[in-house]
Amino acid sequence: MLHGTRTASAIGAPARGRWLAYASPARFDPLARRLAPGFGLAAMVFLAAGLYVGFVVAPTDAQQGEVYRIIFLHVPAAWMSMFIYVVMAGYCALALVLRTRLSSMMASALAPTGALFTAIALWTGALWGKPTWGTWWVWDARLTSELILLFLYFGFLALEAAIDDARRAERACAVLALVGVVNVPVIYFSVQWWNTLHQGASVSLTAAPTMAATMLAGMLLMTLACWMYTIAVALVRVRCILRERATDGLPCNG
Amino acid sequence: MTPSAASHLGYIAGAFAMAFVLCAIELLLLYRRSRAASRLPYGER
Repeated sequence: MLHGTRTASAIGAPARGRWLAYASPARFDPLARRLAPGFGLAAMVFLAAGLYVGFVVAPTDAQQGEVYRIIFLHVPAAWMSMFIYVVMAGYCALALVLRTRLSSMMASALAPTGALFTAIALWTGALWGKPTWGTWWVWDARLTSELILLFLYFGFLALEAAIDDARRAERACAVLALVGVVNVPVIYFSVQWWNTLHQGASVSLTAAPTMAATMLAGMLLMTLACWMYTIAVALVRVRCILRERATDGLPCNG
Repeated sequence: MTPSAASHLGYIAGAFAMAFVLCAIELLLLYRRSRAASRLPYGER
């Protein structure tokens, strides 16, 4: 026990059960350095598997032909755009309530990737909509609320860049993120609440999927790829933010 | 290959190509930011 205590204190690692110590930026940095490459590798593996299943294993759709294969990018990107925003809002809530610096740094690290996936969802949706609906864009509830989500991400990034004082910027961005999170259930339930051109959910937590198993498998593999990519990129970005804010003279511990 | 199938492949290629380009841009910007940040002094306080 004495040896274990000395070892733990010597390398700066928290004792067993004290995982909350990783809320300290100084302790989180080496953890992020170790984890990021693994998540990056996992992203590539899942991407390769997802593309293989999506383009080789999954059959041609009886109604849409080959163009349905955009689903293997569009749906994962849309899911990630909403999921990342919710996680970002969660970190912002932690930052406001508990005043943890790392929480606001994580929100800042996630925002660019969330905007990326939102843009991908809108772009792939347009390229899917043209051959299937005959139009690149309609102002229906789902598409419009997803576009609003992109504006919320841009607003978060712009607000953060516009305010010089880091603490004020964190608070302002946190308020924006928390106010904007109401848009996420609007996006998700829009196809139920309104009469939209966008199709309803094919996959839900409360009902069996209404799509072929191979198509679902490809979509889930691509979703995992996007998820692992997001984590890897966020870990690298938060390490950059840690160094930048430490250089600004702001305390980064706790 | 029918004309409609050929155009559908164009939509698919355009969708995936733009996604990969956007991801590549993000990774490039992140790499540059990471290199700049690695030159900054950082240590436990």
